[in-house]
Amino acid sequence: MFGSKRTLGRQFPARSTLSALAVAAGAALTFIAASPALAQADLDFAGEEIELMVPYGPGGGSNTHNRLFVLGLQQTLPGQPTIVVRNVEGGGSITGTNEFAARAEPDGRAFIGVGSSTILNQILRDPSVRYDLGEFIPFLSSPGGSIVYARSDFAGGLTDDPIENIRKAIENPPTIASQTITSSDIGMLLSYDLLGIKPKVVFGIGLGESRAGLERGEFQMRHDTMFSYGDAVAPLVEEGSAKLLFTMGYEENGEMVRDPMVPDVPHFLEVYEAIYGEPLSGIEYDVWKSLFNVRVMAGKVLMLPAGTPRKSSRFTPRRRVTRSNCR
Amino acid sequence: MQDGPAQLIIGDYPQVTGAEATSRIMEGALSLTPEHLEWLKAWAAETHGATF
Repeated sequence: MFGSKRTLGRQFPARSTLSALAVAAGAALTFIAASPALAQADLDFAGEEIELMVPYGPGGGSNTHNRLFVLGLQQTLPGQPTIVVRNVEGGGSITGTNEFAARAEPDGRAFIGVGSSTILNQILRDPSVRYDLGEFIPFLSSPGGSIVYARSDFAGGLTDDPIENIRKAIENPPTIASQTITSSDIGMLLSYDLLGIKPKVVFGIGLGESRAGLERGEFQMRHDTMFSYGDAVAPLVEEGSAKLLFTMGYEENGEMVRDPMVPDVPHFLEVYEAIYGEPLSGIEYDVWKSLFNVRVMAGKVLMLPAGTPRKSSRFTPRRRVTRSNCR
Repeated sequence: MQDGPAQLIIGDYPQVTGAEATSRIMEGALSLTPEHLEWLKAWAAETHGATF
């Protein structure tokens, strides 16, 4: 049942942090070990420095995510190399990513942690972009879902039925906050529009301010990442001041499923079909799915520079490595 | 490291590793075609008066 205690009071089960880190480190090692210089050095990273470019400032979620995996890499790679994190912020991650594309050598000593905004800058054709993420070599992706919720007193009072609540939002357009149209919010704004919710959007509002604005009643509906759910959303639902409407969903084995962190809450495509009686299709689906991939499935991705060998079996130490011979 | 703080960073989501799986994810994320982009720009202009 939607809104059950099982969901609302859920304490996210303690997964094995160290095992997750070890998997990540192992994935990285597969690539780093394939690099010419390090293969010749018998995979001893002692005394080596490996640089992780973080194209964001030191205070945000992407920085925290990258530093989490740094711990695993440092402890797992042979010789325990020093992973040096370099934050180069600016231009919504464009500055640091441009620099990485221009300067990082494909020798296993450099990688980058990109986020949704880095991808959006490219696919929305920002003229400042000088990188092509399709040429980088990804080795770890950390998905992250999103959830939409509204004040319980919105539109005369919401119920425990998310479909009924969404119909109320369609009939009573809420005021919501957003950062910019070209931020990862674009997928959420498109989702609202496809559902027939035509909100009044106040742009230029950050996450913290929009949370506070909802609690004060200035905004009636908002979206957040699932990483903020436990701290920022669940308490409001538990005290009865907010209702969950839908998530963006999660893709598992090529199939759209409910977000594993709130499995009682329907996902966008379910909700769309429930309201309109048929699945979302056509270019609307194609565009939505692309933005879903950016916001949810590729929320944070660790990548090596273009040209880094993909498999050690294809590696020949004295052979010049190019994209054509390493894929 | 405690599990709690890590949960706030990676949540309950399986971490996707390896070239094949992560490349598929990136291909999906980069799948917006020029036709899709034009549609999206028109949508943003019409619904939010935004241009990019």
